[in-house]
Amino acid sequence: MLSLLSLALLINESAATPVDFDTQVMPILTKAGCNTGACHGAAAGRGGFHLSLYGSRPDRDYEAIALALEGRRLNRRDSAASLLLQKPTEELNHEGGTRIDLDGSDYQTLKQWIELGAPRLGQRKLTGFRIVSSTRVVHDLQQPVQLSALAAFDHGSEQDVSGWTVFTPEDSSSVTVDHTGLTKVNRRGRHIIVTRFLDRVEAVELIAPLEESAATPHEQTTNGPIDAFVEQKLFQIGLHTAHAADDFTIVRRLFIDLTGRLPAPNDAIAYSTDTPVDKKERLVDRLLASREFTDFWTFRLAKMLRVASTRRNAKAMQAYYVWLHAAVAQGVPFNQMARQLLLGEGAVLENGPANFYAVTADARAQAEFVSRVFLGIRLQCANCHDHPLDSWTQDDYHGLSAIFARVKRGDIIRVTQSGEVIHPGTGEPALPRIPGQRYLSVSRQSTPEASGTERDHRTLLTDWVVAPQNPYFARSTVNRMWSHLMGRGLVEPVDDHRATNPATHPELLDWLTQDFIDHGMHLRHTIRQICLSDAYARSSTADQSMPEFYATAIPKPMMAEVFLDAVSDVTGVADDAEGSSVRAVSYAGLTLDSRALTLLGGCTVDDSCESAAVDADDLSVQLHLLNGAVLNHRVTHADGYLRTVLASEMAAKQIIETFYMRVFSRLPNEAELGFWTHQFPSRDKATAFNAVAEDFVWSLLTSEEFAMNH
Amino acid sequence: MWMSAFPTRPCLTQRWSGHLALAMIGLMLTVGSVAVSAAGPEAFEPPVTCLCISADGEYVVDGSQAGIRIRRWHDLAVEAEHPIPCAQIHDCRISADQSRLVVVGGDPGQTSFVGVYAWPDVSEIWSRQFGEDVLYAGSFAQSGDVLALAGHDHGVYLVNADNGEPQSILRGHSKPATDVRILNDSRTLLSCSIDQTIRVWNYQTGSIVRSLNNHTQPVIAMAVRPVTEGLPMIASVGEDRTVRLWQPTIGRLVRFCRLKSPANALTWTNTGDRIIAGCRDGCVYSIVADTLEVRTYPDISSGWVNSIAAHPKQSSIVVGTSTGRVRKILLDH
Repeated sequence: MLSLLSLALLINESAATPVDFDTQVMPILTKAGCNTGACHGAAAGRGGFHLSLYGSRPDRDYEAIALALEGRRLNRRDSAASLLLQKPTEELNHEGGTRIDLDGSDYQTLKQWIELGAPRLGQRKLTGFRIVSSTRVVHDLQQPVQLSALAAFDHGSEQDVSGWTVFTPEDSSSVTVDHTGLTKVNRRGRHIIVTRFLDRVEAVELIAPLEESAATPHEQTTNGPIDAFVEQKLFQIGLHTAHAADDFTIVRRLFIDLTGRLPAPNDAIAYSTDTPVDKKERLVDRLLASREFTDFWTFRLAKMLRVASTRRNAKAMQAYYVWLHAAVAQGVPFNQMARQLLLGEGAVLENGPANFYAVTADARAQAEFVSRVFLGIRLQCANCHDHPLDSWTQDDYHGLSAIFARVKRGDIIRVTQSGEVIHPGTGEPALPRIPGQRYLSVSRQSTPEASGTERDHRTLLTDWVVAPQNPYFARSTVNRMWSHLMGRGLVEPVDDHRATNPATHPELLDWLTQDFIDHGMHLRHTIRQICLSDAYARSSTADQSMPEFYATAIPKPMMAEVFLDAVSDVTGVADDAEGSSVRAVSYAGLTLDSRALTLLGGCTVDDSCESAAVDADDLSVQLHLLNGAVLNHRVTHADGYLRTVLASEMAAKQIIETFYMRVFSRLPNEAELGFWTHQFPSRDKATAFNAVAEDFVWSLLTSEEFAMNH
Repeated sequence: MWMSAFPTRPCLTQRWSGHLALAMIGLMLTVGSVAVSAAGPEAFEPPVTCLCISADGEYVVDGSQAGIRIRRWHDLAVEAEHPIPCAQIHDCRISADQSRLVVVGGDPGQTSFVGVYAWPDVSEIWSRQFGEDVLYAGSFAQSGDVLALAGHDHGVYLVNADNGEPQSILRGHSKPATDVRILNDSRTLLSCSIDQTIRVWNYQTGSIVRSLNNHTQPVIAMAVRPVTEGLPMIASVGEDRTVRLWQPTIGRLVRFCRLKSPANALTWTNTGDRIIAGCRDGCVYSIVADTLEVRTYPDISSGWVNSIAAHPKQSSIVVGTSTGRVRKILLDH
């Protein structure tokens, strides 16, 4: 036996280590960029050669490389003459340029694989992937950071795969990474580097503090876990915190954030003159208990849940809205609301939650809707290919769609015994699947005798979605609340939770999530926690260059509906939507068509719409505000508040102070008062006085300060 | 149900001896050496990309990157090997009068190759290289004077079969043409393509007659039914897993069925009552043309079945696989 082995070795000493296609060949192609969306990983491939995006389907890629077109891409007799080698080395004309060095080790590996017969051995499977960094905090920008990629395989070994890992900085001007993982930070701040090896992606955060010792631990004024986490990050990055906002700013901020309304002047004055140390706590509790809070947060959830009336579905949407309003008013925990929605069925005119299925066109749209709203993830990429920046697969996407395939839409939402979606990868009906978890048992010929869960897989899905252990549901919910109140999500965008989009403050997000779960998933609890933090109460006047660290408050543009209501409150002229003077935030539940809201950029009915603010950069919006009826009509309205004030013979100073309080929830400072007082003519020139007064109010309403919740 | 033959042959190059060495090691290390022992010996053979059988049924011709091999039908033993001056061979066919063998292929991304050889001694009559990529198929007209060629460069070429002089190029496919056939009416030429269509041409005028576009994925191969009654009928297979039967002269899709796997090759049985498809799941499927009843011949290969040819007199076929094997299968009645 030994002699036979020796003989075999003598015959060809170079016939050495087998090369594994999945874990050795594929990483070379990915590192070379062959399977990116711009090259052969495009949906239609390129140059007649189609690879799966970032090598997510090595089985198909093996066929494309080794078998397709009768093996044209490999030359078994002369490996160097293979297209697989000649193209990326540009020995043959290659539109993608030189991707692999003719003298490099990767070339030799590919060549050796071909010479060994180009097999797909399946020698080992990747079981883990992690990035080890020489440091995560970079003090000296001159010192490079070594990132090492370590891959664990199923036979127990761990290998440094840095040379075959793709390192992609989010901002390539701020960070450069060479092919070995040696990283140079060029700019101070927080930097994310997305790394990829085979089907694993990992985000690496590097912090380069702005200034050494700009903040020190003893400066921290910890007001609770939220502030502790925020200040810890501020200390790490070296940012000073802004001073606390004044009382006028806080009261305006709280009113807009919690009720979608400007505070009445009396409320603002009362708060500023109030002395108890817990006055903010008491105001927050008062607002959380108010009818206006229910209206506004119903409106916010309605936007997210697509409660959007059209002529066609007006009564159904009213039922949807009424149910949602009652749930918010009663403080129904969010997981219970989600459960009712996910299991919604019945007549859409009578059963509000059933409309959760009436606002989407089909099962795939429902899957995307559910994943965005309740999981905070964008699953739609996985419709056509495995998600390139996360672990979601086509099986996940179409499996989730299959769960909704038996839901029949119409006047009555019902679950039938048939319905399927076709998996484009297999051409077969997709198997129902809880994303990232497991397949569900399926009975193709479902009968009434089949178990309830088998007939309606939504039950199992719902149990998974709303469970406290679900890694997405509570997390994405608190992140949305944080985003609304703080102006930016800890994960941003709020519906894009993924491994390659890490939270700015992961520990804070973890804590908020657990706190939300521990307190029964009540929205009001988490909203209160955030509103009472020091981070929420900071001034917004300081430098906004790094808003993601919350050193200052982030000014938030008002949503279009809130803006319109605020204009109505200031001018005393309600929006006249089809002759009905209701608040704009209630339109979602009503069949009202508001021209003003359309002009300002309200949401469409086709999509979840969580932050449609007045777009200050939109020229048409600006023109309408400057010259259109949205403001002019209300400012000059005969029944408007300005006319009442002018009729009262109020002096210019009083008019100025009155409208400053109504518009900005504060009194004018000396300069402002002096400026405006100077503009007003004497009272006896009534026409001129009134004209200036109109200009004055118009000026306040077109200012940035009014349009922003700062 | 099916017979197989594994002819031994000498190693062609030093590289193959290296492969043999590795295979031997793999065979000896029976446990834990997943790579070599299981897949080694089979995987080192280049894919068998084309097959044809002489009209008397005595010889099988197969083509691969190793060249052309002539085998005896009864045991598939290699009687002769003929190197071909190109990297890839994609098709080989014998003319109706059994006087010539055409071999097509080329060097991928560089040039095409077509060679016409005297049959059965395989001495070269003429050969040509042209274009910038390979040819996937060649087909003699019944008269033997015209040779049609299907090119990766999307073109369908007509050449003088006697001397290789180009006659015309049929342009119309938007992606590589994968197969080409000429009907016995001395007028109609069929080509299929990655662009999911089958084009029907009048090759005398160079005009396109119609486009058959029911396939929803690339069309890989076609075969003409070997009967003369009624309208001509062809079968086509594609990556959409369908086998489609057509009457191309009137543009009619007669019927179709869907297989479990995409087919790479197909042929009609000599009686014209069944279509035999070689598929990517390593199986061969027999489809009754009139009823579309499907019979499966499983586990023919651990790789793809790349090529297939039906015996002209017996109810048998021979298949070539991506793992480099040639196998004979006796069909059920």
